[in-house]
Amino acid sequence: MLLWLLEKIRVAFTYSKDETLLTKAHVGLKFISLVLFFIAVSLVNSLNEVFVLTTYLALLVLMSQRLKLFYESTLAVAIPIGLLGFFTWIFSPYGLFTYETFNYVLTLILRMYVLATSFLTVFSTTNPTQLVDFLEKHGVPFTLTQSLILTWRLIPLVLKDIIESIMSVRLRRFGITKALIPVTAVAIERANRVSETLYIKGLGFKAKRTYTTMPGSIVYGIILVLVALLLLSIVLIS
Amino acid sequence: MRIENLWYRYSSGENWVLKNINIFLNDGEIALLIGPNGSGKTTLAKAAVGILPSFYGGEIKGKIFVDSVDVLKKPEEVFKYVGYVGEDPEVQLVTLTVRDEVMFGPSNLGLPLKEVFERAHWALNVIGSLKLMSRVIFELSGGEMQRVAIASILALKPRVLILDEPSAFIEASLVRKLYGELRKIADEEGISIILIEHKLDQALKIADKLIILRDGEVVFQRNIEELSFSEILKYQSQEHVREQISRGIRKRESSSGKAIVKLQNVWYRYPRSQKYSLKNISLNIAKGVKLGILGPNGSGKSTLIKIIAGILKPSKGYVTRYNNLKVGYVPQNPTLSFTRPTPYDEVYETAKNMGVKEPKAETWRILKLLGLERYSKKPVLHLSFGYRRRLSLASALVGKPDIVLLDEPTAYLDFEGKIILADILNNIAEQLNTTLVIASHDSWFISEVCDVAVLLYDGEIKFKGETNELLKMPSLESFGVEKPFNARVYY
Repeated sequence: MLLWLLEKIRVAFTYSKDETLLTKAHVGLKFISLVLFFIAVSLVNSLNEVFVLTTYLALLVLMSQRLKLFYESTLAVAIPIGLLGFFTWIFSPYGLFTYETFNYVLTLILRMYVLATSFLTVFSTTNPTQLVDFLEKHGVPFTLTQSLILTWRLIPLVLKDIIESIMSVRLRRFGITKALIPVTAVAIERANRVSETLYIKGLGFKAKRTYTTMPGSIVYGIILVLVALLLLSIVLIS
Repeated sequence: MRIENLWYRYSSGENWVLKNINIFLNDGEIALLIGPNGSGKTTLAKAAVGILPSFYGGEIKGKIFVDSVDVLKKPEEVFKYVGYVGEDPEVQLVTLTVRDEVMFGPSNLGLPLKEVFERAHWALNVIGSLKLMSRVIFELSGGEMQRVAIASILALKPRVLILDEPSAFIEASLVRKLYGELRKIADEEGISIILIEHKLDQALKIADKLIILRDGEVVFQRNIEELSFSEILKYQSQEHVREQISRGIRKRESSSGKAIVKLQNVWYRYPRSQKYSLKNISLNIAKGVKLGILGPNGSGKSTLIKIIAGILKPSKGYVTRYNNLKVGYVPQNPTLSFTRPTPYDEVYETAKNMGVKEPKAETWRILKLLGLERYSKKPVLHLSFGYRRRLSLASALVGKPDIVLLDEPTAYLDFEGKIILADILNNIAEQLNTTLVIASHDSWFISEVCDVAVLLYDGEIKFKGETNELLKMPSLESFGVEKPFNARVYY
C-alpha cells in the first residue's frame, strides 16, 4: 500500500511536457491565480462554498486537456485525505453520527481535495525554469529561485529512490523504516553532487542570468486569475 | 594547463590522497588518465575544478594554471576555465528538460540570448545528440543523460574539459563516436581534455598523452607517440586480457530446468511518457540459468530487471513467480540498498533476517567470497563505487536467494574489477546454484558470465537463446551492441 501510494505521488509530481492550454498559460499569472485560490479555500467554511470552489479545479482540468492528470492527482491524494477525514470523524466533538460531524468532515475533505489536486495539476504542468526566469526578472534573488528549481528536480528523484530502496530492503526482510537510512544517505550525496554541479555550471557567478524562457500566454493566465478572483469574491461576500 | 606540485588530503584523513602531482597539457591535447580504482583520479579532477577543497575542506598545496590564471586562487571563476563531467549523470542535470539543461551554463554567464541558443545547439550537435533537444530529463536513459551532461558542460566552452568515465553507461559504438567528437573539439577549438577511463581500447586511439596514477602519485607520464607498440599493449590491458580469455570461450549448455519466473506479453510504459519502454515481452527464466539481458542504452534493460524484481508492475501482461521465490536485487545505485553502517553489519543483519543458520560464519564466508574482508569494518559510505557494488551483491547473496538480479553491474569498474566480478558471479552461481539475471550493455561481461541471453532493442526482444549464438549474430552491431573482442577472434 505504501509503495503504491509513493508511486502515485511520484507520478503526480512528474513534469508533463505536453503542450496544453495550461502549460502555455503565463507562469506568473498561473501561480497568482493559485495563491488567490488558496486564500479562497482557506476562508470557506460551508459545504456549498466548497462546491462553488471546485469550478477552479474544473477549469484547470479543462485547460490541462488531460483527464489523466486529474485522475493521477486524485489517486495521489485520495489515501492521505481519506485518512485525515477518517480521524477527524473519529475524534469529532459533535459525536460520530450527527449532521454537524458529517458536514464538518465532508467540508474538510473536499477543501483539502480541491486544494491538493489543483496544486498538483499546476505543479506538474509548469516548467520550473520558466517560473525561475519569471521570478528573477521580478527581483527575487537567485539563491531562493534556485532552491526552488532544485526542490522541484529532487522531489521525483527522492521518491524514486525511496521506492527502489524500500523494495531492495524488503527483499532482504528488513522493516520498511530501514529504507530511510540509505535514502537519507543517497539524498545527502545527491544534494552534495547537485550543489557541486551548480558550482561547476557557474550559478551565481553573474548577478544577472540570461533568461531563456518566455513566461507564456497572458490571455490564458488572465482567465485563471479572473476565475480565482471571482471565487474569492464569492467566498468573501458570503 | 599546468598542475604544479599538487598535494591534497581530506580534512578527516592524515594521509595525502594526492602526492606531488605535476601534469602539463598543451592546448588541444588529450591526456588519458588511468589508474586502478581508488588511485585518486576523481580526487585530482575535483581538485582541478575547485570542488576540493571548496566543498569538503581539507588541505591543498601547489598550483593549477590554466593559461596564466591560477585557478586555485579564484575558485569562484574556475568553471570558466575548467569543465568537469562526473561519474553519475543523473545528479548533474539540474533542470527538467534537455533544452533548459544545455542552456543553463551559458545563461549563468550572462551571454546574449542568441549566443546561449547557439552554444546549446552546438554542444548537443557536437556529441551527436541534437535530437534530444526537446526531450524531458526523466525520460532519458543513463547513456542519454551522460551525453546531455557532457553537452551542458561543453556549452560553457571551457579551456580544459575533464571527463570522468564518460563511457560508463554508453555502449561501444557511441563511445567511438563520442571520442571522435572529442578529438574534433580538441583539434578545432583548442580545448584540452583529460579523459579518466577504464576502457582503454578506444581512448588510446584519440589520446596524445598517457598519465598513470597510483596511490595518489603520477607514476607515468609520456606522449603516446613516444611509446612503442609493445609498451602500449602493456597498458592496454583490456585487449591483452581479452585475447587470453578468448581461448577459454566455450559452448555452454543452457539449463532446461523449471521456469521460476515467467513473463507473458509484458508491456510497460513510464508514467507521463508517450511510448512503451517494454513491448510484448515473453520470457521464461529457468532455475539455475545465468541469463544476460543485453542491449544498448534506452533499450529497456533496467525496466525489465525491475519488472522481474517486482519493483515495477507491468502496464499490460503478466509476471508469475513460483514457490515463494527469494529474490536478491543489486540496484544500479548500490548505496540504495545499505541499511547498516559497515559491510559486516550490513551482511550480518541480512543473514539474520533471512534466517541463515550460523549468520556470523556465513557473513564472513560471503565477505571473503567477494573480497570484502579487508573493508568489513569500514563505513559503507567511504567505500568506492566498485566495492559498494560488491557489498550490495554480498547482502543480496547471503540469504541464499533463488534468483539474483543485477542492474548494470559493470558500471564504474575497471577491467580488472570486471574480471573479478565475472569470476565471483561464475563462482557463486556454481557454489550456490543461484539463478542470475544480468542487465548490461557490456557484451564481454555477458559473454563471460551468461549461458543464455536476450537481446533487447527499443523495448523488444530481438533474440532469445544461447549467448554464443547471440554473439554469432551477423546483425548484432546494427542493434547497438559491439561484439566482444574474444567473440570477434573466435568466430
